[in-house]
Amino acid sequence: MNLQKEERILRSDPFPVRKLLDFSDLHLRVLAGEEGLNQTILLPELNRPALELSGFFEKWRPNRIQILGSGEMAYLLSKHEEPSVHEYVERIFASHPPCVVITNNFDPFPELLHLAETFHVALLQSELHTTQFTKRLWDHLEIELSPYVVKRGVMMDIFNVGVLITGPSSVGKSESALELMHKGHTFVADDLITIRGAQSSKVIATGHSPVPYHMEIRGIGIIDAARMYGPRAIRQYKQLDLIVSLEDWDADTDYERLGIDRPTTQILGIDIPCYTIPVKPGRNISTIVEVAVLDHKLRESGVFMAKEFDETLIKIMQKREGR
Amino acid sequence: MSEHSNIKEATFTILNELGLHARPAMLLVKSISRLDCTVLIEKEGFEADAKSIMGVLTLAAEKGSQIIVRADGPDAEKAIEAIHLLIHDKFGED
Repeated sequence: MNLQKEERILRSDPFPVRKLLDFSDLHLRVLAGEEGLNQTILLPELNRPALELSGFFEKWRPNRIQILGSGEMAYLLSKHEEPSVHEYVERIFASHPPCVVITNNFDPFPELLHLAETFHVALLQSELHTTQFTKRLWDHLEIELSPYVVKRGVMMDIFNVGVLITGPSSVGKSESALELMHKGHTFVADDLITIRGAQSSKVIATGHSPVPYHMEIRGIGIIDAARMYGPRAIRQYKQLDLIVSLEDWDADTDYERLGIDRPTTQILGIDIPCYTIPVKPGRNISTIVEVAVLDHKLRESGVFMAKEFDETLIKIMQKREGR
Repeated sequence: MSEHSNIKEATFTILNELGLHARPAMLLVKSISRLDCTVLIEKEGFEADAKSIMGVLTLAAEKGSQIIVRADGPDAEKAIEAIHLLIHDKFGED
C-alpha cells in the first residue's frame, strides 16, 4: 500500500499585523490604532497611496499595506488641512487597509492618529527609508504568506547546496545527517520540513518543529544538534536545491548507472533535481550524498562527467575503427 | 569439472556506428544483470565482467570489432541470446 500522499499544498496561517513587530529589522513601532494589530495581512503587496491622496481612487487597492513615504508625507503635511485632502485620507482609513506605515521616521499630524484610532487601523512608523523598508517587508511577507508543503526528511546545507534527504523510516536519514555534520556540513532540520515557494523560482526549506535542531538517533534517543555541534553546524533555513532519495536496496529496481540524464521532482511547481540512492549495509551514505552534491555542483557549472566520459570513449573508438 | 557446468560461448561483431559506448553498455549490463549466470566479455585478450558497466566500457569495443561472450550458469543461454539481440538491433541506435 502506498501511503505517500499527493503533494498537499497548504495555505499559510493568518498573518496578523502584530507579527510585523516581531521582525526587528523593520524597526516598527505602533503610533495609533492598536486594535488594528489583529487585522490579517493577506497579500505581500504594498501600495504607496500617492494617487489616492490626490483624489484618484480608480485603482485603489485597500487590501494592501499602505506606505506613506517622504513624498506622501511632504504632500500631506502641506495639504492635509484642505477639505478634499482630508476626505481622501479619511477614505483610505475608512476602507480598512491592513495597516498604514510611515517611513523615514516622519512624525504624524494629529489627524492621522485620530483616523487610525477611529477606524481601528494600525498606524506604524519605521525609521527606514521607503525602498529599504518595502524590500525588507516584501522579503518577510513573501515567505510568510506563500503556500507551502510539508515533507518528511532531513534538510542539510552541504557545500552550500540545500539538500533534502528523503526515504522511508529507518533507512538511515538521521544517521546520515549526523555523519554529514561530523564532516562539517550544516544541519537545518530533521523529520518534518516546511518548504515554501519564494519569487516562484526557488523554494526555501525550514524545520516544522517548534523545538528546532533535534533529531532521534536509534539506540540513543533524542539529541539536540545545536548543543552537540554548536552554532556553526546549524542554520534556520536554506534554499532547496537538490533531493537525495534513499531507498532500501531492491534487486528488481533499475538504479541510475550512467548519470547522463538526471530526473527531477516537482515541488510547488519548481523542478528540483533528484538522485535516488539505494541503501544496503556497507554503503557509506553520507559520502554518497556528498558525491551527489558535488556532481550537482559540477552540472550547475556546465560539467557533465558521464557525458564527457562517453564523448571521449566514442572518439577513441572512432579512431580505432579508422586504423 | 562440475557436471552441472553450462558454459555457452558466442562471438559477435559490434554493428552500431558509435560502438559499445555508455548507453549500449548500460543496455547490455541491464539485459543480463538479473540472470542467474556469470558473463564475461573478451576483446583482444582482455576479459570484462559483463555485469559491470565500467568493465564493459573499458573494452571500448568500436564498430566492426569482435567480442567473445562467455556465460556460465543456468541462464547462460538466455544471456547469450539477450546480448545477441541487442548487438543485432544495434542497441536501437543508427
